[in-house]
Amino acid sequence: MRPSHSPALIEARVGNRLTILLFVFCLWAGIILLRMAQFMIFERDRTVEAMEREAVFRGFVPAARGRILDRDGRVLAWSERVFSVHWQVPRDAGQAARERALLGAEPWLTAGLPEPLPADWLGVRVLLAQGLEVERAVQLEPLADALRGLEVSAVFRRHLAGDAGVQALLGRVGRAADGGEVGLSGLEQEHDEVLRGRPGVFEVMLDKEGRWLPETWQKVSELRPGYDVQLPLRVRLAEGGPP
Amino acid sequence: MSIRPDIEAWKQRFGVCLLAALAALMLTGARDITQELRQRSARLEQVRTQLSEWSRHLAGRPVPTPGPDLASRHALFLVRTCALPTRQP
Repeated sequence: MRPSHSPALIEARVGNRLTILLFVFCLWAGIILLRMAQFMIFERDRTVEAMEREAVFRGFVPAARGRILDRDGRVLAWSERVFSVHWQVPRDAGQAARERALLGAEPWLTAGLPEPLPADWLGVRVLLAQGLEVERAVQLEPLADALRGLEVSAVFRRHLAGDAGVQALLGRVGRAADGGEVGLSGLEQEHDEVLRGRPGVFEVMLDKEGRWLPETWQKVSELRPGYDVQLPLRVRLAEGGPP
Repeated sequence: MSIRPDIEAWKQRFGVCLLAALAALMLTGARDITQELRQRSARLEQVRTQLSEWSRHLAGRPVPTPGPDLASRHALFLVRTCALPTRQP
């Protein structure tokens, strides 16, 4: 009878175990390879689409409408972007108080807020300011980064110069589906094709909290402002016209 | 004739395969990272230029900012505030 610890037997056992180990490794490598093939070849389009939907924000920026000028180059109608600031008040009173303290960095934002915040304000979206000019809006950049509930958004405001007669001739604009302005009546409607710009489209990747990753921002299509229209009319304007 | 596996030979083969796979992975990764690093500054400059073009249009007039970094952050902020999401299919 051979002893169970004879070198030949041990070698055979190790050999067997090594073969089993090799088989397990091969099986493991095969499974990984199949899964990789599944993701990278067979379900590639679906996987990439799902990943992009979650990780990439595709957006567009409405273009500003062109101006209307009289024959001497005086501006009769022009558009300006103005900004609104909303605060999504947290549902938790403590969190709301902390955020309010942060908002205090810009006292003009919190000037209209009651102190302390009433309970029925919790969880509500509050308008803090509107009609802000761009210089004021960009001051809120650090605050908007720190406070997820602070929303700064932009809308167009169309200005018309001249008296009521001129303004009636120029017509009115409304908000278009693409976020820009569309001519509804008068010369604004007549020259709408020329005055309207083309929105710019972009893509940017998001981090796990949904924030933009600046270095991944890329333009998809060019942002083109609307063209100006010069009328064959001469209009006398009062003081305090357009910039 | 022995049917026992030659353990040393198998070890060597397995080791060589493992090393080859690891080397391939590391080389691929290193190449991608090198390319990314080489293109990074050009890419950042391109993003900065495009964003500043857009922000000039969005502001409608030059907004004075001290320094290119702050100008770049303001440009991104302006684009973010004016942006609307495209409709998902």
